[in-house]
Amino acid sequence: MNKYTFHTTRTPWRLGMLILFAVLAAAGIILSVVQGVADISIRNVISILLAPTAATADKIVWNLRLPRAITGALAGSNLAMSGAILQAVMRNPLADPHIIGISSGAGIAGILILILFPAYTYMMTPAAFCGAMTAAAAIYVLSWKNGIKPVRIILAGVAVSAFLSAGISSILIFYSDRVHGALMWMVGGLAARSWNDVSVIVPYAIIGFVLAMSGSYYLNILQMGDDMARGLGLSVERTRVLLTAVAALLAASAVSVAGLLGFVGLIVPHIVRLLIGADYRYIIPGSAVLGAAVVTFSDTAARLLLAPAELPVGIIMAFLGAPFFLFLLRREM
Amino acid sequence: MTEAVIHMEHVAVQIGKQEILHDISLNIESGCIVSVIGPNGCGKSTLLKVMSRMLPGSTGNVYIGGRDICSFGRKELAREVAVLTQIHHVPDDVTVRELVRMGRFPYRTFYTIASAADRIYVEKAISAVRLQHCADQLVKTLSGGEQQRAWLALTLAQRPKILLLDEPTTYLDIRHQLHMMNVLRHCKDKLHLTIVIVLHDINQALQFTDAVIVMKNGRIIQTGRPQEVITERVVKEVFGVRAEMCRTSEGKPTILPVGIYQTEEQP
Repeated sequence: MNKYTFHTTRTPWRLGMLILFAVLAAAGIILSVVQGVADISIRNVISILLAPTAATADKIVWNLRLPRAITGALAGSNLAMSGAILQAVMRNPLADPHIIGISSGAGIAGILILILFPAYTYMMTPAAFCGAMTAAAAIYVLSWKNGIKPVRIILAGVAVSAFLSAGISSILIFYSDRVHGALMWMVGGLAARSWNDVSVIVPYAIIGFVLAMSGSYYLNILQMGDDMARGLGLSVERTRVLLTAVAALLAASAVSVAGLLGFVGLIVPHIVRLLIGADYRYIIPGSAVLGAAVVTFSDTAARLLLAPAELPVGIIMAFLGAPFFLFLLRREM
Repeated sequence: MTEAVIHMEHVAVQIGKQEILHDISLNIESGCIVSVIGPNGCGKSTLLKVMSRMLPGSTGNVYIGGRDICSFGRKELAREVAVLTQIHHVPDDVTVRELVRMGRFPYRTFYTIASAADRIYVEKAISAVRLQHCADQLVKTLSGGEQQRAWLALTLAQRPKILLLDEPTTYLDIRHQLHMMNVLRHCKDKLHLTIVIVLHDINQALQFTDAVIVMKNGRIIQTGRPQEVITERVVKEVFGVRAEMCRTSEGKPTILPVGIYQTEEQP
């Protein structure tokens, strides 16, 4: 490719990729509604969606598959955007809400609510957000020494993550009689998601997307290095804190409906960056739609691979994500 | 004497337990190029950071154009003082024009998009550093010297009155070094800039700058016109290097380092 013509075709290319990701996400949602243990043809699905009746097939599509697909798509979106923001803010390609312990922070708060205060389940997302923010703050405090160094962040994140996981495990052992629901939740699963879960995540997905998009130009400035960004008049610390809060909010909302779903936040922003480039004004929307696509496809695979039994989607994500993580490590180091 | 555009009074900087700058007071006059020279770790970069309010832990007073530097908003300060730091990073797929456009950041408010003025200043900055021919190329495909000029264009797009440059010629070959210095002289005249530049090459300080600040161990040893300040004695005192003053065929002074003084204490 000639480097002169490259840039005149670049914006259409980026928009084209965004559209492609969106098509994939739509395909993922449709596939997860059509495919399943109960055999319902695509024509049936369409007629059910247009004019629902009281038949069993209708209930499966409307009350089981559709809310599950939407919840999964939005959780994937939020985690991917959260990962994209964290990678920029922490200037570390390995940052991801799961690896760095932000999800674990949300997770421990979620588990506490789930096991100790089941009556307050509606407080799940705010509590998860507080947990995520506390974890993020702990990571910054632990890794702060005359500024932020990417390696220190990842080490502090891994330490925080291990510490919180130990906390989660001990809660599970103390309350082993109430564990079952929590266990599914810990590996990240979308089984039995309802319209209730959709209504929990939708507002956060919308708010999070708007905030992430409005922060995207600031993320671009931050990429030039702290001192250059400061020289351009950006309040680096304040921008970091605010955008980390946005990332924590996105991760916490996803964790509170889908559990500790790992690796989405790591893989998706990298794929987007490879295909679209380093401009966060495109990476954020790209991550949002591709994250939805990845999770819906993985969830469909999780339901079908061992049908009629069902794997939690988190396990599929980990099988895909761990090798990808190693690949990135080898490439970056 | 023209007005002092940068005025520092009793500035000290302490990082951890180490004092990096001790009681520094100085005046920098409007419309000249001032070089800062001195051995590694003597506080040159820190001095620039104080002038651009990048260090929170400093004591003393700094005035920019007569106004206390602390009274500026961040973006407001970025419209007065632009900085090119030693360490900066460009994402893989940013073109020269996109990079320079980021220099308009201090003029953006949350909702505005690029104005006509923004576009004009971006183009002016690109032509001031003579990169019109590769404005749409990726920054990382350019040579080191061109990359450095692209970064310079970014700071020019800020339309500052003061430009602070931290070793902009280090790592460049001699042709690109001279090109950079010529561009700076040209910008100073055309845009009425005041430029403070950290240099390692003493001869560049002699050749291109109007005044020089010589530093050692966090203190200012001497300031003044480079031809008067830079002498064999000062080079010995500051760098511990034996140097000989020579004249070019045009009669301009240059300095030739010829050896190291063996002292018990490393300078």
